[in-house]
Amino acid sequence: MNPRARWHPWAMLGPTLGLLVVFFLVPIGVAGAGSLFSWDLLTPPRFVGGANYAALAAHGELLRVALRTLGYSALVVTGTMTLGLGLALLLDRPGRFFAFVRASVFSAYVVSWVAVALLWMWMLDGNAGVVGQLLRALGAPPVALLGDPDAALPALALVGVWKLTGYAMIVFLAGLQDVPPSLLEAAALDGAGAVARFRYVTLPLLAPTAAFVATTSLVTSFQAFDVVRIMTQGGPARATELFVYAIYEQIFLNLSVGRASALTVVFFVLLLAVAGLQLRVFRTRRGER
Amino acid sequence: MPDVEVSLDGVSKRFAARLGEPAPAALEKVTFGVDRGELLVIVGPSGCGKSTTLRIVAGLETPDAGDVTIAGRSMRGVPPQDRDVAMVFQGYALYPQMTAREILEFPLKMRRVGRAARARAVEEAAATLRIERLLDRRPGEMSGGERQRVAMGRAIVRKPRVFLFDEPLSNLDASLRGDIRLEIGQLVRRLGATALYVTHDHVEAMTLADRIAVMRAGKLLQLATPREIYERPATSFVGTFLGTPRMNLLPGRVDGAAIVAGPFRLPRPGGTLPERVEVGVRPQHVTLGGEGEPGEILAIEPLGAETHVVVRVDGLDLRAQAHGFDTHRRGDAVRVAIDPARALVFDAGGDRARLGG
Repeated sequence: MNPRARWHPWAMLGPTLGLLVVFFLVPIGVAGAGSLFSWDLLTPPRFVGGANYAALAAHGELLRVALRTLGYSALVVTGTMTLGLGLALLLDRPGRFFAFVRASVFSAYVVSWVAVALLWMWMLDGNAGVVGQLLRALGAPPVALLGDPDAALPALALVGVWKLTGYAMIVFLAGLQDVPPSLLEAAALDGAGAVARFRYVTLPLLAPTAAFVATTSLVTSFQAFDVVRIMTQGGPARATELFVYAIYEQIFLNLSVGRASALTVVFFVLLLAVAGLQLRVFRTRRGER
Repeated sequence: MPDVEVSLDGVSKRFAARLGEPAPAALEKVTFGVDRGELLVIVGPSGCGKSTTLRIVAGLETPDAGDVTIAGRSMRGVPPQDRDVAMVFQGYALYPQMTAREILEFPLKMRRVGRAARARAVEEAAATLRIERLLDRRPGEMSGGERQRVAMGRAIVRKPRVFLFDEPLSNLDASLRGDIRLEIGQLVRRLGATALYVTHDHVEAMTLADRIAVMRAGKLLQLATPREIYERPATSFVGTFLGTPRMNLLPGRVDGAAIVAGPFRLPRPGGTLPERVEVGVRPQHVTLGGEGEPGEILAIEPLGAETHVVVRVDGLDLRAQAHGFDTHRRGDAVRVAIDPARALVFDAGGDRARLGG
């Protein structure tokens, strides 16, 4: 079908393109431009070229923040996917009881990050927290997980997993619905037991679903801010200073918009690269099968 | 008497209706046996329970009552993978991520057959079905007919005791169906396999079967050779379900030593008869031209080798079959006769059973 006038297709694309430009391309451009200036929000901006990037790289801070964020994301994505798939398989059954459990697990995803962060702060509290009391009951020494530089980041990842698992479970449940029963029946007649049926039929058919869950939970975990802001403020000893929180600190604590913009640009490129890599892995795996 | 390979003994099954889906057909005390090396076709309209019967033999459904035995062994509590049966599914059910070679190998791999033996068996099965050139393709890269062959290959590769076919041709083009039907018949007989074949197509049933089981509403109506079913149907339903054009059913009544159906009189069969009966006459036993009752041609359907004619006699519409391109035309007046020796008499009430000898 050919358009009657050359501008017709552009008119159709217009609304979407407009939104993309205003809310995506322009901010990125602004951040990109801002990263070349030094600006403290009070005095006029001053052009400094690549100095912001050089400063971030020089302190090694950039690398540390990036690795920390990648580590946190790796924990959240693997934890979310494993638990989400496990729960989906366990709860993909008829009946009110299972419907109730599914709804309960999913409800965590509906709660706001702030509420989740407050809830877990109380749960993880060294003295009054449920987790601390449990550890004490088991005879372990009381630990304030959020106060320990080695445990704080995994503890935050745990909170992320707890919240996102319900989402992963729902998407995997939808994926499981799309597995044709006749394929599982054919596999049973072919001699495959429950484990082999899962491995040779269910799992390969879930690959596109897994790719989707992996990418979306990666993006969500990369953007973690609320938990850090509320639970640890980047501490102890910067152990939980993730990318978005670092950007926030640069602007509102250091009043350094240029540095923050440079961080934003690096963050954007890094997320794009990781998500691209992830999708590629899933695509080649699908190509192989 | 040949050995019975598969037998069903009083098998009943009911399903609870699920939201948004029609409940699968129920079964009521279905009892029959499949002899070793026999190709038995279960035929019936949709919802008659034929697929449910097959799935119970496969172990994909559990009967509420009754028992299935295979090779003399009760299958109660035996899962599908331990039954030594292979099934060809209606939608083929080929694993989308595997190549044809992997699909054919899969049942052997699951039974821990060694790599070399697996490769040999796959080559052999592929040669039998002439699908060697498909072995490195995935189902998505095959036509419907090719997928059908791969599904057959998966069934024959491990030489099971019993083959189950669940409407294997219904997803194929009409032009392919006849060819593959012929091939399935030849293949099953060459392998000497016992096979249970489910279809709603009476042509498949007539052409493939050693014996036909006709089912309706969860009940087995008749189990006999195709010829017996065709010539001596147990009920008027069986008579009309098998054979094209459909058998004519005329309302009739007993009048002394004769049965009267419209303008036609035929001899009364022996035994006690109800007052109202139905007379079944196959279209090829309706003669047009020559002696007979006056009628008028309502419609003609020339098919080349034969022509189907609808003729109205005394207010009754009859289907008739004539050879070649019939010379009759719509609106022609014609004499109509039926062959009284070939007419069948059924009870007009109850289960519409055939009456007389």
